[in-house]
Amino acid sequence: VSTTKESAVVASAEALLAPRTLPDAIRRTLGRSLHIRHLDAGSCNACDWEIAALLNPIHDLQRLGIDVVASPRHADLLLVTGTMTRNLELAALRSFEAMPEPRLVVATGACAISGGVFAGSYASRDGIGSVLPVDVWIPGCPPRPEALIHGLLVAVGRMEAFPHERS
Amino acid sequence: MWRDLRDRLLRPLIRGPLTARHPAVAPSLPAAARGLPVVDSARCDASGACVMACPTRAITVTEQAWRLDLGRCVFCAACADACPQGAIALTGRVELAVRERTAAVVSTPITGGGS
Repeated sequence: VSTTKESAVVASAEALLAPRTLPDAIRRTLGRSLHIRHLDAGSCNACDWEIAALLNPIHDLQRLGIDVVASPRHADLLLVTGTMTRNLELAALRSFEAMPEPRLVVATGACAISGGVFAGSYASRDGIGSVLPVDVWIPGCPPRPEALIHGLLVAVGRMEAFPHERS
Repeated sequence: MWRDLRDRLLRPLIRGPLTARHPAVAPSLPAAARGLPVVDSARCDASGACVMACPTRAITVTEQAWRLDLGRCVFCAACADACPQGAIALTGRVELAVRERTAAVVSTPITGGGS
């Protein structure tokens, strides 16, 4: 009995000392709930409309315990759309810094990942990755609401990242 | 009044909830929806027509492999239209989120030499 007790203590100590990945920290702190702050960093608004569609009765994001909030101070996840224009770099950084930890950043759409059709422009960066530490990338132009839900659930470790089993 | 009753009360009751069952089951998409582009590795002859057609330079083709950066892809299907072999098709697969930027690059080996 004592050995199992000891091994349990050792196991829990190891679990505490092991480097935790962010989804682990998120799950520990937030359970399955997630609050999103949407940040438009120079988007064409297509991604933003798909995000808006998440809140309609068909996709009904709240049924998953996920909601959109009005301030980065209330948010666990920064959902960034757009190429990261030069004028918005500082605002994006400040939004990120205003978020309490643990925090996640999700790059939404081709623009936020690589600059998309605007790649190489003098007026913007090629994606948000050079300004913010991105945890999940959601391809699409724009990504469909289903793709956004998948990305958000990947961010909190509730779904598997691409390439996964399901088609 | 009866029509109203039928459309606003009975029909929703028969139809059931409109909310998608999506994360639990695979997404049901309209037929025109464009998702993950895939290449038929037997039909691809590495002509490079798709590389030239791609507006965001998301595709690179070598003798051995067809590589697509999903982070650049805008799912426009210009590659599928341009391919002389008709080897590229856009599937209905949209759940493409990745944790690493490099994981967004999909690579398909080219096995055939075309027709």
